[in-house]
Amino acid sequence: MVIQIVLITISIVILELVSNEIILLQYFNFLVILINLLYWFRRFNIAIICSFIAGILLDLIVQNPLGKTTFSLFIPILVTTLFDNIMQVESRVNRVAFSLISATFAIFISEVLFKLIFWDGEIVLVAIIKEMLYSGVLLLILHILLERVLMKKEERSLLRKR
Amino acid sequence: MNFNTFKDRMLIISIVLIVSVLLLLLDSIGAIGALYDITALATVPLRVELHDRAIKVNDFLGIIGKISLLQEENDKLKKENTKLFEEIATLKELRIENTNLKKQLGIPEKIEGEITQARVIGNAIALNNSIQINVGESNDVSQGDVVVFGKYAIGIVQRVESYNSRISLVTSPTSNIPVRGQKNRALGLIAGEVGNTMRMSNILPGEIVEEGEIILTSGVESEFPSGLIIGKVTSITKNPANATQEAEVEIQIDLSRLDYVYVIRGQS
Repeated sequence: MVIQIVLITISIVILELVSNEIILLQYFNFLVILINLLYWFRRFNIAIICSFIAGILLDLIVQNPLGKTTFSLFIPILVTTLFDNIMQVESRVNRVAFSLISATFAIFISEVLFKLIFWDGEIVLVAIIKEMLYSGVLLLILHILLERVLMKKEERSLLRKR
Repeated sequence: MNFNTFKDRMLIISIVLIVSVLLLLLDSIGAIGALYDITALATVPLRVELHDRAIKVNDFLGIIGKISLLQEENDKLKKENTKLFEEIATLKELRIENTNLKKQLGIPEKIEGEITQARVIGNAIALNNSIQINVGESNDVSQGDVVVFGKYAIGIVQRVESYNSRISLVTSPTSNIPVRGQKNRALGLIAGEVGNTMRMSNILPGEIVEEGEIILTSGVESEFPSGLIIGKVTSITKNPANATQEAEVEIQIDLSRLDYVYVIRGQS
């Protein structure tokens, strides 16, 4: 687990240095993905605490309106929790699909709806699409990584049997 | 997920959402500025360092990527350099003449307002056309102040805290800066587009804009003082819908690699 976290952190630092974008936490999509995955791997409490602290820090550092990130993160999680209760998402494919939907909606809320409602900067469609594409790729990679770390052996073998 | 777990989760998520909305409301009335200040004090030195390193790594990666093009670029730059030497010599003469004329007419020599130097601590150009700098209210910077780099217009202070500020760049699609051509004096409005390009619009049909012409701020009904460089015209198109012309303008400065900028205070 520690090695995996170190690897993930190193990859974020490299991303930061290569892309020359604002700071590590600027990767809102990265945060969204991680929280979603933790959530779908049944690490609910960690997901809530981490996302709240990280979201608030992100807003404070990049001078976003405070609460914007947590708001954007949790609306999709609220909706997908509701659907999860109805549909009982258990298979690997469904988990990834739900995470993808959740991450895409979080970006949509943060970059489109939020900016329209609060008039907080302009909407740059290319940047939003790019962010969503990055999210998709990162989500799949992290899903595989976290599956190895967080899922119990029995659960994994059960999924394979299905 | 059983019903009780579901209920608990929905309750926690709802609480987080309510707290978020409360924070948004408090922020909108400026009640939590101290939190931003504490965060800035704790993170700005680290971010200055990180931004410097990011620029260096980018430069290094850029060289590796362009190694085959360097010779060609070098030859091109040598030619440009020779041409620029000639222009500098002419301009020096013109500057002396201009200074003398200004003295006689009583026109102030420099841009009005105090100038503060600032370090760029991060950029979010791809995401929302903004950068952050390490000066704020404690340095008398206020919302609406103009940010420049030499004679280049960089942006406007959009949000200001005690120790840092967010700058909305001229390349923002909502910037709408009144500008004019340097050579033919055609007036228009400029705003950002995708990438490093900007679009100058509302140019009247009778006005002339040429490819390669430098576009400057006009200073008319704008926070930007007159004469700051915006970019160079790359193409001109006629707009048949309202009979005006439009010009595509390329910005001549790499905004993602800025390390120092200057804030002109007291312009707003």
